[in-house]
Amino acid sequence: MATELVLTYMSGPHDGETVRMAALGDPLECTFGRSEACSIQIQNDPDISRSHARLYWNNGKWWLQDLGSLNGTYLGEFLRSSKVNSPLVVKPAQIFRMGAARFRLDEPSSSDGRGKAEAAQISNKAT
Amino acid sequence: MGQNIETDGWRERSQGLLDEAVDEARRLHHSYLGVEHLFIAMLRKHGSKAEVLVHLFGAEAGQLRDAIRREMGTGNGAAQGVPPLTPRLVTVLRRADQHSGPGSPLSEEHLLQALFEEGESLPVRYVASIGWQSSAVLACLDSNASPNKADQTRLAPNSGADFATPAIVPPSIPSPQSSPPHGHGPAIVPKSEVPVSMPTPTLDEFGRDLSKLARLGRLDDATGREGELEQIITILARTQKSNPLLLGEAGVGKTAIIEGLAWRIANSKVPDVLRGKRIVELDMGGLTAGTTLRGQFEERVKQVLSEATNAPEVILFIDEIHTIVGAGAGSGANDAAQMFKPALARGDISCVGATTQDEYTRFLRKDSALERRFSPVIIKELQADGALLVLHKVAPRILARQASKGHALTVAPDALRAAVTLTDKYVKDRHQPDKCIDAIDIACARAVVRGRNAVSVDDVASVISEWTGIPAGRLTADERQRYAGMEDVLNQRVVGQDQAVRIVSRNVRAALAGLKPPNRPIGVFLFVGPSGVGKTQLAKELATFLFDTPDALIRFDMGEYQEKHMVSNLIGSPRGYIDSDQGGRLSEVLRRRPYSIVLLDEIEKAHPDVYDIFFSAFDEGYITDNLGHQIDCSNAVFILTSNITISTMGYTAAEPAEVRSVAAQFLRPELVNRITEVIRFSPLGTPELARILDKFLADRIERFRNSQNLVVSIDDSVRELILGARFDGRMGARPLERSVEEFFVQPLVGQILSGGVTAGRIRASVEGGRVIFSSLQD
Repeated sequence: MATELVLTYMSGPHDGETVRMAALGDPLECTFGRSEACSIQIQNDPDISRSHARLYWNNGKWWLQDLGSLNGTYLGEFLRSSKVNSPLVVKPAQIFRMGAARFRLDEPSSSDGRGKAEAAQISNKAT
Repeated sequence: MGQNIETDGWRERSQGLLDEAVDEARRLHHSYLGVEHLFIAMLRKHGSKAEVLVHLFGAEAGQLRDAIRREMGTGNGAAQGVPPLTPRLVTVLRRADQHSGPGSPLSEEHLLQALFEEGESLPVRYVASIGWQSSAVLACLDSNASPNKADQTRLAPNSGADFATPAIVPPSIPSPQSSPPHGHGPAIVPKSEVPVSMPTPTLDEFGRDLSKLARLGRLDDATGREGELEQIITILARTQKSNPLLLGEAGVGKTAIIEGLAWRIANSKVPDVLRGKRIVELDMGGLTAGTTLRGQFEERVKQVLSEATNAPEVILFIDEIHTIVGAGAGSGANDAAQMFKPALARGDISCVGATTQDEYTRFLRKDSALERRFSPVIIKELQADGALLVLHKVAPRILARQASKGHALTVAPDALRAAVTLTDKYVKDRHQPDKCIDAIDIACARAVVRGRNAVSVDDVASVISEWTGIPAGRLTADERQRYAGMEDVLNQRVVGQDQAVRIVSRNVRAALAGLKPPNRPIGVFLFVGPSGVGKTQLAKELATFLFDTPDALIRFDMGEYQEKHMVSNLIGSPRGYIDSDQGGRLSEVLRRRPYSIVLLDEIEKAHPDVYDIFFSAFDEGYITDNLGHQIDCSNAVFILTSNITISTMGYTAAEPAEVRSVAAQFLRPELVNRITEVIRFSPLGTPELARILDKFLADRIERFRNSQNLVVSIDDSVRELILGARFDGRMGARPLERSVEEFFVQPLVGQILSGGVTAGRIRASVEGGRVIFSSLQD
């Protein structure tokens, strides 16, 4: 089953932009990092590692996993943020952060009206 | 994206706010313009609606600005020209458009209202996280920032006074941490463990954030340093020269005190004035490293200084601060000290330095303009009990580190105590708590290497034994028994000087039992007597007895010190002379080996000025070397020898008091006065010489047996021949040794070479006034 992944940028140059992607692969995943090979490439942020973190679909939930980044990945922001040492479940509407970049996981259905949704098909990292 | 502030005339209509926002984005090296920048720009404007709003919610605009900046972080480079807007800012601006009407000016209220209606931008999420409710904010804005009388309850006396708008209180008091008003409105207390701060990328790169390490639990409080910490905190609270300079010898714990301060700040155990401060240790080496281009170093230092200036919560800590004098200096370039001076002078930055007294004198004192920016804090060496407390805290960390490498160790509490007492007593050229920590660390490392899992007192003793050359057993063993038999041991080795042995033993025993003043040497003895009666021998044997090795005897032939300038040989050349950076023979040896016997042979031959350096040694227990270091002599024995009485009086008849008064004629009286005991060595009579002869012969026989496999037995006639031939009481035992060579050793060697004697048992006897050797049949 291909699950639609909807993310909204919550900071940075794309702040407010929503991306929808058809997550592919087995397990379905979306990778974040500085490298071009990542599903979501984050540039101009010194705190982002080449291959920083990934979201993957398991047991009907999205899990956030740090890929050994130098500066860490955090679930939640401000006071309620915890470092992702082992994979954590991301619930819809939760924000996660790496470097200065923040993303919110949105429900596929609820994202339509939010912000300036851009349907984007981003190719997944080759497995 | 793709839209910029020129779209729809936003720039014009925002009345400069968007320009301010662009400035902020540039400052943070961001290549885009977001809601955050706009919000900060509003907060920067004095008396703006945003500032009033923030005050209404009991916060402080500057702190909120810094908090948002910290959440955003700095970027990699600002865009040239007009930065593109983020989609969210476009949304907010469009919303504001709706409130103001197309083409009309975008007022601050409209923008704020749009911002909080949109409700998902970083600033709004942040204020929500500290307890603001969007509805409350919007209610305030709806009332056009005029007081809502119904909601007005109470307000701190002067919180509204600074602002044009009348004071109101928001519908709900936002922050759960707001304290009851007293004096002024409750300030935002960031709940975050991380204090809010300006971004400091250069400092982050070239510094070590002690406050961060403290929060992560990597640092500990400084034990037993209350007074010093209080002094430092007081200096930091000063309005001028608020730069403490920690002065203390290497290893006394200067860095540990600053780490302790960072720990206290992290754990809120400091007065308000230091709350939220961030101590960053600057790595001067890192700043200099890799600066290949001219001006690169200056640029880094300038960047560091500007970041430290902009982030008032930063306290710079420069360890080994003397390294900033001359760092980066080249032809025509300024050194770091020159660049620090103006910032320090203006009080722009807070800086803590640490260095040793020596280095302070050598580098910082020269630069009085730099020196006067600092307030010195003297850090003294910890006393034994303080050092033990520190060791109790540090030892578990050493064990944990070993455990993390897979070596489980335990350290006996006695071993910790021994590390402190033994290093205190025997290691004089280093300082507490460094030396006791080192001793434990090495003992642990050794246990790991040898595959053991416990560190005992003996392990610690063996480490210190290696440092000092004193046998490990001696460090810990109960010595009383051994010293009781001191005379017997010495008498066996030194023949015929029972009285001298008795006096020396008595004095040494008393001194080691603690009956001497603590700062005096163990003993200062003047041995007087003819040549060859055992004066040097007794000194050697004493070295072996006390310190287990004849190497502990340091011998100076004072005949070499007949010139005044030879003093520099003993304590080093004065400053400005060649080799003034090297120590003297006496001072260096005593520094490395405080447990020694210093033998000053033929003291009367030395130049009287040479005596001067011994006055303080004999009286106060230290000598001062060329560099001004005090070198401890309180664990040394000084033995002066002289044969002055020979020519002046019959030494056989001289009583100690008489000898002392004669000595006073030849040496300076003040020197003689400082001598514990004047000991007269008796000339050797025939019975003593016979015993010495036996010792000599036994020694030679042993050598022949080992090297030639010869077992020699000697007739009494041989003994009589040797004794009779060269007996001359005035010359002591030395002629006897020569006679043994002449009458016994050389003839026997001749026989061996000619083949007359081969391995086996032989007998030496006298025939015709010569020693002959005959083989004995088994």
